[in-house]
Amino acid sequence: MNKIERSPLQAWQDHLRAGELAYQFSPDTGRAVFYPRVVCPHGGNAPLEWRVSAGRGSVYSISRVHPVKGDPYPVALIDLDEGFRMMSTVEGARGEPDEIGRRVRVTFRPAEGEGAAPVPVFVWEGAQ
Amino acid sequence: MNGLKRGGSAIVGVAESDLGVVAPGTTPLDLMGQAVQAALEDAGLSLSDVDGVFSAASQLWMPTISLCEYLGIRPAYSDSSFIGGASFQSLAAHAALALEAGLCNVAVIAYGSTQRSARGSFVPQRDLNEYDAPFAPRLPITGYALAAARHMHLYGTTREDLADIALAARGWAQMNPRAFDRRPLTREDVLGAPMVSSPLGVKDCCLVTDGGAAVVMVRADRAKDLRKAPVYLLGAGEAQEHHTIS
Repeated sequence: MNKIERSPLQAWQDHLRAGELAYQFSPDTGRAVFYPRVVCPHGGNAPLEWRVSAGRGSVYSISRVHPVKGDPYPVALIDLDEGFRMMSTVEGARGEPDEIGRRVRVTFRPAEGEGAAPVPVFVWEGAQ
Repeated sequence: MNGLKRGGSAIVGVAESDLGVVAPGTTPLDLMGQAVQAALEDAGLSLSDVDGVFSAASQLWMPTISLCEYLGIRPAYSDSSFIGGASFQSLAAHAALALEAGLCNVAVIAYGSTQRSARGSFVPQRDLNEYDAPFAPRLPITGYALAAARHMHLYGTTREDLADIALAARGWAQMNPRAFDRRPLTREDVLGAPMVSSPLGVKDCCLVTDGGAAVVMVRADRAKDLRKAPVYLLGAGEAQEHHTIS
């Protein structure tokens, strides 16, 4: 057993600080893995490898969340082209089902607070 | 679930606790205790017969230990597997397995919640991971909303279709004298209600109420001699694939 020297979360956040959206890859099964973890959930034995996403994908689903206080905001599930899905938001989205399937690309919201990492968010493909 | 004998055990007593809004200060354990006592009465059994205790509850960290202490039971067998709202069907199967294996002879399955009375002070624990948390989904509703939006995209399902689910549920409530809200509900009411997480509005979501219930189970051989006609457990199955919606 190998000691966990750097947690999956720490490694992921370090990539974010470098302006990269990282994910893991299972060499035994040839499949992408997200969220990051220490064990392959597809049955592989070899350690998961870190890879950097090109940051392009499409909206798998989206909702407009109405908080108890404050303005509504979109929450989306994004399917990245490398084969993993993550929760994020799409800036400027309405959060309606007709936006499902639209192409998006990643950008990074600056870190808020000491020690925090930037947050990967998405914009419509082609948006400035 | 392989290993379960068809009809090897039966439900012999059932009861609900107070429902809706319970008396101030009532705890989840009070409701479980009330329901367990009534379910045993329904079966013609007493607390001293109970040697198997099964429970899950969002407000209790270790529900079987707390419930056994409350009831004065030192169980031969207990199980507090928590898989959300499906816990109790699952616990019925676990109870059947324990009964058939002879690990216990009289099993009670109990639930209690004061989540309406405790609104504002009690926040259910959610295992929201660090990767989803920055986007502030309103769980569990945003999870269902994302699934519903995807369903709309794939199948052309409409908000009107979804509203019919709420109308059907209200229709059943109107036939149940113990239901919390039996007022008439229209499609327009559902569609015009404040949004929570689109496409789901507040009337698409379940009511938040206090309540509890208990079920008593025994092996089939003993079930025949009790107060009520037994309801035999003929089979059970369970599956799970994910927790986070992402």
